[in-house]
Amino acid sequence: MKPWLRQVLALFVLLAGTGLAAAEDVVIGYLSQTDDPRYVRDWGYARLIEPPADKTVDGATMALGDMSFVTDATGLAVTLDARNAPDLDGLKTALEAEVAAGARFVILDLNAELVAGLAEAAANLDVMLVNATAPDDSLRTACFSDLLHTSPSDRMLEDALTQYLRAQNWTRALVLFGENPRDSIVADAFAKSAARLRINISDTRPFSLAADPQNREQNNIKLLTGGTDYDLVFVADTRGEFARYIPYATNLPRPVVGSVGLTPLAWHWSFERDGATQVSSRFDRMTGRKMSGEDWSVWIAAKAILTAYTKTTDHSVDALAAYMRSDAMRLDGSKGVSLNFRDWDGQLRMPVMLATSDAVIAVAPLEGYLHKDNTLDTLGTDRAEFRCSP
Amino acid sequence: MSSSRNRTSIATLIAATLLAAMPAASALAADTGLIFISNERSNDIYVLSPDYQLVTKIETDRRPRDMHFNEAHTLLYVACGDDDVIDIINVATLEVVDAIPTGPSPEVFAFSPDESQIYVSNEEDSTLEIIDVADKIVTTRIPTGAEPEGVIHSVDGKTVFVTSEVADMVHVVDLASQSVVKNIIVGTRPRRFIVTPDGNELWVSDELSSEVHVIDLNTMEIKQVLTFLPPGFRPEDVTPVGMAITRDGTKTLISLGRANHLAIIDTASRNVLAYVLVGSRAWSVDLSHDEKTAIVANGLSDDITIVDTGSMKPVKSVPVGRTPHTVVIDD
Repeated sequence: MKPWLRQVLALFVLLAGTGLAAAEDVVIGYLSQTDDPRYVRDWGYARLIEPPADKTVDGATMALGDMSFVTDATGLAVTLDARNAPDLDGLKTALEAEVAAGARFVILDLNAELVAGLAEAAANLDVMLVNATAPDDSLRTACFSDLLHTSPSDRMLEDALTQYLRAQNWTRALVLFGENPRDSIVADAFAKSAARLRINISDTRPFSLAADPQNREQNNIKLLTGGTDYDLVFVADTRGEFARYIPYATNLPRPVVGSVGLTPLAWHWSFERDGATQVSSRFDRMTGRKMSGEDWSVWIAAKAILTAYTKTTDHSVDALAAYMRSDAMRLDGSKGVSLNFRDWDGQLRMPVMLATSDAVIAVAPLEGYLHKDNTLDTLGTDRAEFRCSP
Repeated sequence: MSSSRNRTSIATLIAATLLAAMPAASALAADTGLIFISNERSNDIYVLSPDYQLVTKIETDRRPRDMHFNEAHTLLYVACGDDDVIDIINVATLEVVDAIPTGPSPEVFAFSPDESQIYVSNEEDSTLEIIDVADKIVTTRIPTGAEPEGVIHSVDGKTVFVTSEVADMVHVVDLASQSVVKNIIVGTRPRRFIVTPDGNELWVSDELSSEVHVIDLNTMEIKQVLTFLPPGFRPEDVTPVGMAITRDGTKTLISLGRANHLAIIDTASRNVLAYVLVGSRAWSVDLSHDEKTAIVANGLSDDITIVDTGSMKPVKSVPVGRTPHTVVIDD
């Protein structure tokens, strides 16, 4: 424990002893990358409504408001310390500053590389990081001791999709992937999910953006989707620039899923059950925009942290994180079931929405997919198959 | 919908009629045996005869949810969440005759014992409102945790309880001072209430932690936490919401949501007497006056299930409108 922290704690004990100032300060940190390229949508990619960079912090702000009644009642004075920096060094400095300001949980809206860099740095700090927007399974298998995840992992997302494909009996997939490094990662996750539920992959084909996109795109999609038979096209196109032109342009009349068409998401604003409408409309009123999956993951991260503070008495980082990873936590994410974190990889268990641009078609786990412990564990790498590979 | 001007004039007429008949108010109750089901998504109330035939559909304002009769059962009040009103239905003519404006998204409400006031939870702006029924004006707004839902008053009428689904707490509102005097942290996503007829216990259903918290009303402390598990289900499938209790307080009925069962409980011992299979996502439950029949609204299968409380078996399921929310019986 840091000396300053010991002093602060000693002060709390003192105040508690005198019966003064029952309030305990809780600082939640938030870090994002300045001008995060993941959120740049210069080409007017409008299928999903993306938050502008750095604005997922709205989710955390809303969670503080949602929880204010219970944090007030339990004597917690909660503040949000949001910072951003352009690179890993800057983010490390910001993380240290947030920890020095009292943050014991820091929510990260960062790509996988930056999350991994900060998770290494966090090993020397009295802090728990919560990865809210990097779905990469490599962050889970890295087994960082101070890292939880509220973003669904790639495997969870693709498992949700393949459950639906299997239920529909669409069992032959043509896989297309692009040049972004994330595209191959997503296509690999889909291949693993497909193998689990015995969805056959008829072919896996790379696509590239041509120098003259107008002609190239038209010709290429026909060619890319020709010469083989399949029930559906799976597209891994992280930036979405290519994918949005594929539906209705395939050689065979087949549905398109993945980065366009039917997309697996942590959240979709059009979901209307389980109190989801209230969450989405609160967010809409507060920000003037629709709640995205990233916004939800940041919201639920802050809500999970504050729920742990309000439902436990030992507020050390280790004790709070242990509570979050236990069955004792019954977190409400407005998805109809209670959520908590997997004890083997720190991943938040959650239903995954399968959505088009304006409707949730299904929510996974789909009915009939069973699991010996928790049906939510049909999504993602399960305990038995999980191996740490730092 | 009829225009509001129209409604007001009819309402005035009816109010006058009622006023004239007031001393004999209870004699007015026709005990029609009609069953009313509010349907959130089809914006109507299905009226079924005692033998479960459709009598009529009453068009209401949008998203009708919680419903209560006045004491005389001449009027039925319906909270309509998307139009921010409580519609008033004339039980004799089965028409909407008036409406009381509320704050945003009224969900659940309760009358004061003398029916002069309505306590209503407004889901969207996180308040408990107190409405003067005669003047149809909001007299008090009390802030609550986010997404307030269940509302009930104590037997003596001095205290109102309201749940906050997001804050996981029960607010204890003192009506004399019109303020929250205590917050009781309960399970995850607390929804609805019952007060035992002896006035000693408040039961709270916790949808997402699969529990019912029993609060001692003399100490305002949690006395017991009950859990339910129909055979073949997992704890996380059990999402209790609706509750009803017999007038003598001996039996309590709790709908278990996604577990598609109604639990019938011996109130004193807390023993589960039976798990009755009903429809998909069992929500609200109401008892007939003779308490021989319980009716459960099934939110995801768009039907109601009639349960014989003697044999503790389902009798039949009847299709209704889209997303049934609340069932009340006029008997």
